[in-house]
Amino acid sequence: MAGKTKKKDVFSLKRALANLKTLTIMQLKEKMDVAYLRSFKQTLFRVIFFVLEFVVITAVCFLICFLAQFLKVFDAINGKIPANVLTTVVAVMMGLSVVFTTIGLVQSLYLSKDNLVLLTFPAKPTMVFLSKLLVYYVYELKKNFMFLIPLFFGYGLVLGYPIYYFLWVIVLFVLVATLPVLLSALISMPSLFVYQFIRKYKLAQYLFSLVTYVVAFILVLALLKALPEEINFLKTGIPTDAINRLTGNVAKFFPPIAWLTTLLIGNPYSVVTVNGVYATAPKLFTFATLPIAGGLILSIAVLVALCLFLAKPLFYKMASKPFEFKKKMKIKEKENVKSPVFLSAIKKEWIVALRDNTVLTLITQLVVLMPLAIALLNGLYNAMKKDLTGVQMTVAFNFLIVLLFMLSANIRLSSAYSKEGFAARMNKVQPSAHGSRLLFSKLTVNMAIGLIGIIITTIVYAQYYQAGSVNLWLFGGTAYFVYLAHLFWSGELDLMNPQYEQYATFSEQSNNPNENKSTLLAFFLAFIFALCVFLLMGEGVTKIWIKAFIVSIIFSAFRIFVYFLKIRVYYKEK
Amino acid sequence: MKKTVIIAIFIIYLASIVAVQLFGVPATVPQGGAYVETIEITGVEHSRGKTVEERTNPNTGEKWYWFYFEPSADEGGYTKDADSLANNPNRVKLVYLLTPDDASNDNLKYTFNNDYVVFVPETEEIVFLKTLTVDVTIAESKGNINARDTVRIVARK
Repeated sequence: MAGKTKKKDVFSLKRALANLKTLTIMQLKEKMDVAYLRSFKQTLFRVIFFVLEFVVITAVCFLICFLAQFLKVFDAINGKIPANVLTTVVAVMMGLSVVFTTIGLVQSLYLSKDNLVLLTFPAKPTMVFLSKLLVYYVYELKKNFMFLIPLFFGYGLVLGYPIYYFLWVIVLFVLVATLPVLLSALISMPSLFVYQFIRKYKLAQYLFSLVTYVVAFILVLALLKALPEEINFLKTGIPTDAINRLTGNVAKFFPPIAWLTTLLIGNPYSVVTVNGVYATAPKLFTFATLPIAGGLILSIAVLVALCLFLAKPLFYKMASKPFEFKKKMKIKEKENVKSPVFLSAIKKEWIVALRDNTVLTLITQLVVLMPLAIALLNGLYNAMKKDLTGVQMTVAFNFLIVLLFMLSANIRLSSAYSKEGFAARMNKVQPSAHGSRLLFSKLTVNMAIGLIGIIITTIVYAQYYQAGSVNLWLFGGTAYFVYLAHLFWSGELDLMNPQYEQYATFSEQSNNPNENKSTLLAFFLAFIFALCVFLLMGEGVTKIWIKAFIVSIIFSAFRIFVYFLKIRVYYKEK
Repeated sequence: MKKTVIIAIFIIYLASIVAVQLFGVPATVPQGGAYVETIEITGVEHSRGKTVEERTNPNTGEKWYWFYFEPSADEGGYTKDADSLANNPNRVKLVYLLTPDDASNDNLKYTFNNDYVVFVPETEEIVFLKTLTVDVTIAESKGNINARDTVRIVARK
């Protein structure tokens, strides 16, 4: 009898694991491009590409660690790279991971439309819940392979760690990658309530944003005031003490991450005696290894238990809530006013952008952060006594940073139409006279806020750039026209390769090919324009800005023409 | 915005500051002397004429300087007090070469990786309070971060 029960338990466990695997793979297939798995050649190519990518990043990390040791950045005497530096990097990366994973999990766990479908499958809600966490765990592991693991490999190579260190790092990161996901799953619960509160009371959100902007403004002012009169590391040397104080404080405030670093690298500079002479050598396993490893496993177990007991019931409640009863809106009846078609479309897009926080995000990025970043950057540049090359570099870098801020705001437009889900298909059946204008109305939010952002940024930059007001406005104008070109290009990417299915089913797509292309374009255009400005600066400031301005106008006119042409030729259904 | 985009912009932002610092700021010659280009430590001398032995680490080929620490007559050992420092016989001095020949040594700075070592600027002597191994770095503190050299000195009983 007992044997039968045991067999039954093993069988149900196997079935549960099989369900979990199927659910996870199913979601991964939808969210990541895994079409290459169907072909052996493509899979092999992907694996080789992944290994090459890993090797290149590791080589870069090795070079950084080697230079830090050679230039004695962290230790003026021996060039040691203290464990606190790695602790700081891990803390920053984990912090970012927790923030972004929490945002993703709030959507995926509680608000995603695929919950309604997944819960109808013959699998327990626990498995659905775990499969969602596993999907984020795979993302996290992938991200670790792209930065933190190569960093620890580079560090290990520079310090001459034994070969088993590299295996140890991989094994530990397989465990460590669970931490941000599990922490985010727990944090996602209060975050959901904050999110819902903010969505319900818009005024609270605006007030919170305003306070944040004021704090950021005061912080930048304080930083600008605190800058030394002259910054010249060649004169004063690298501020080793300040860097070590900062990394030491990070290690002091986040002891679990400092322990984690100890677990990963042991004692990198343990004292050994060679022929009666003291020397240092890395020692991977110390007396602290076992307790910290035990603590790590225990922490993961506790977090998993907490997730199952606390987050899972909320997930089940939210996921199984019928959407018909979700909204309790008091709708004020208004008299219908007939407006022109184009104006109505623009009004609708602005209302949607206000409701889904697009306006707030764009204002934060382009109207608040961009001018503040430029002010701080130029405050630092001003503290450096530059030669002619230095001055030309600062102009090119200002242009580069402004373009990166602006063009990155357009990335969202490469999925703007697809995000409407199946409703986006309605765009295809609009009367042809209005079709292109209705599609264009979606771009107006970015166009308007981008314009305000660049005007404010140019005014801020004018406080630092003494090259005449004409050149300044040519600088701003060029940046805006490049921005317009990229804006229409990003919109066109989505029109030509829509991803309706993904957004209709999952409300999100982590690896949208259009977003990836738009991101690459943003970086490419920013670098090319900034490089040209820098290289041609010798011709004279006004001459180069006039040239850049004309090129940007032609470029944006061409992209606008192509955008409307493609709508006319390919998009409208006849 | 995606996390990777934010990180990329942040890295470019920092890199632009470093790039201007490295390639856009001219190197300046400190006042009162020629620009120190290199520092080379050629030996270590005992201030009281005793031999400081030069040894080579068989594994790294690095030169180490050994001298025998003289215990204090008092049982308490040596401290940083002026009297104790004056009576401490465990004093050594670095012998170094600067290039160019007319470079000033006004801005040289000594740093140690051990607190039980004291530098006396008037005589340029390094005083040992305990038997220990110390790495001494001598560097140009004003004009050139690359003008530096380090030696390891071992005080043994």
